[in-house]
Amino acid sequence: MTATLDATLDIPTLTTIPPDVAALQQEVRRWCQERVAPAVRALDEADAADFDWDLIQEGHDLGLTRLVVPKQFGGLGYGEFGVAIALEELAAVDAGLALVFGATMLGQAPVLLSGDPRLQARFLPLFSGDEVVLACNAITEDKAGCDLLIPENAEYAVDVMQARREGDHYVLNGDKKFITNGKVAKYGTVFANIEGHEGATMLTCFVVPLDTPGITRGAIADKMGYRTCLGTELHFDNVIVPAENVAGGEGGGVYINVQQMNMARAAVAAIATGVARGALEQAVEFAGERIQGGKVLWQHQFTARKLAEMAAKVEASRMLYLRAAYMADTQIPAPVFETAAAKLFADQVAIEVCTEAMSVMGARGYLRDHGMEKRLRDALGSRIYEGTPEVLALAITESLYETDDF
Amino acid sequence: MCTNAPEDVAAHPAAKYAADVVSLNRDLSFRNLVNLAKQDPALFTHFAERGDGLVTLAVPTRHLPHRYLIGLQGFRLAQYLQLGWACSDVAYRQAIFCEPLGVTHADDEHIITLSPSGRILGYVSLATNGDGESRDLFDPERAAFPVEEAHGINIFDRVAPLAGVGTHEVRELKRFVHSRTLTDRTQRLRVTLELLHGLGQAVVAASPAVRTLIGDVEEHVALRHLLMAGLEVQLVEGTAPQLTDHDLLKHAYTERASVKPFVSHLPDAGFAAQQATMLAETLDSPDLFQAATDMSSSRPGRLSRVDGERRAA
Repeated sequence: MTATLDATLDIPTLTTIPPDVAALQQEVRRWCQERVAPAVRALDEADAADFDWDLIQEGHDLGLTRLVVPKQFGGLGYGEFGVAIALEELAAVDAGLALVFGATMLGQAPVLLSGDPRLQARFLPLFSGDEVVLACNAITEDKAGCDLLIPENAEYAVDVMQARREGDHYVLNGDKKFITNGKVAKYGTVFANIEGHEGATMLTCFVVPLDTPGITRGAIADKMGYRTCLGTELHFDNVIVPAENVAGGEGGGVYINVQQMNMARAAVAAIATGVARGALEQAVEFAGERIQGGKVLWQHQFTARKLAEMAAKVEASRMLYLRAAYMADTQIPAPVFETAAAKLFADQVAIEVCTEAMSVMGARGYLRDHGMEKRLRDALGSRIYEGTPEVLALAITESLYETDDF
Repeated sequence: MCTNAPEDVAAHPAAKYAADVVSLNRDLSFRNLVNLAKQDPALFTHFAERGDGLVTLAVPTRHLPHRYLIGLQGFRLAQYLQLGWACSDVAYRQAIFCEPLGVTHADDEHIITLSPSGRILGYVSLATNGDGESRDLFDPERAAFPVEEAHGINIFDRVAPLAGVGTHEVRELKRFVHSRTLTDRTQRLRVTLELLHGLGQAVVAASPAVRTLIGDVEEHVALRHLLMAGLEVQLVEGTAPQLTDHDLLKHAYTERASVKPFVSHLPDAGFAAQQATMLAETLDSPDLFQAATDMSSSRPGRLSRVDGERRAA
């Protein structure tokens, strides 16, 4: 499979992948084949708390933690388009690994979106050194998930993390849940509501070094899939954060968050596409070798039909995420409809393609030895983070009816 | 307006910002630079790895990955901020986290000493003036060297150039910068000698051959490095830095003892190679202080002073 696009779209730049992105794609693909693929099963079967720092360090050496960091800060300066293509490559081999780097970019996004040059200068060069640095984005809470994602829900959010201004700093109190990279990140972008304001109506984004006194990293979630990355609780007990660490201004968290989500959904769609592509490639290989009834499986019409539909879905899924990523790179604010549609579609494709690929492989598809069941577990995970189908459906239909921006 | 850092860092945004820049740069490691030098030695002008784990290398800007160049400039700014030579107000207002890259050129050589963990312990650079083709030193169209811009002079108006020498045969020796974490005297001397050795090798490798070194030094500080290396140094007296209050490095010229331009003509083509050999032998000695003293006395540098008056054309 390649990501070369032949379809005619109204966006000329989508007909070819720019040379620098193509080079990145090849480099990531080679690393995945040579270094990641042999480790995938061990990564999946490891204890939930295990984290393969050596492999992550290799990814860092490759530049995967600084893909979106602008060049003036020592980064590679890719937009969503380049990021999405790289993430598809990673996810085709291991979606969890893709999410380690994706979550780091999500933690970098508020710093970038803030437009605050001093905040950027203080944090973004961290990723340009040779020791791996990871970030995380901490928004989800026990009682507030979608209520922190959907601005209209903000007033209904309950028990949201509180921030209290005291002189030149804020004091943060509360808990975050399901924070990808929370256990291993050097800093996090943490969303809290300013004390005295209802629900999450004064949501504010803070850039917080996670070694700040008062922060404890809690239990690691024992997940069904995406086991390479760690999802953790973060507890904040009177954590002092300098006022200059606010990204996007007091109360600006909602705008940062909406932009971040709209951009991230293209990348998450790419991860889901990668999961589907990995399953398709494995199924194609199996059906090209397995002989039944005197001929290889793919020459049986039922199997051929399945493979053809799987391939078409993967291709369509890729088209949608590339278009969404391109638009996220070229439009301010980032689009709502295209990114939500890309994610909604890609999540579903990942589940469908993995399910069909498992069917093509028969019993082998169901055994852990062959890795397809791992892909299916990962596919189900893609549907949850950065917007469930229910949340995405609201975003899409609100765009259809041209109501308020989501 | 540039001001000195206040005592109460926590209450002053610029001082807090400067402290963050220092902390940021202290955390960065450059250990893969060593791997790069081992994988592709042709890109590097000098590479020395000694028993105590220190690595010193020299590499031109054109072969240095961009993020490492930013890292080097960040290291330098972080040390200057700690020394009070860089203005934290200017850094804060302009959101500067590394020295501006615009003044580096493709052929500038960067000499870096790294700790085993890849932290920068010492750094010095050998700068060109960026002329595409070598020009006469009195050519009004030639680019100025940084020291000439800082002092507002053509340095060769003050000290006669060697006959036939053009801009490509001149290098500016920038200031030696040691990590503020380097508190052990022996280690500090070792890093200085390693940098001098790397400098010597960079000069030896240059084509066309380097005939003259220029720069500016504070007496009793960087000047000692030059004399230790056996250079004949002509110190230009009576110049005044031409830096505005908005210049990031104004303090480097005004808050310290007088910083003076210098010119050092290299006696012959073999000089740098001989000095580099001596430095390598010194670095291999078990008694570094004694060996450095012996080296300096075997071929001591010489200092002379010239007044700041412009020479007649």
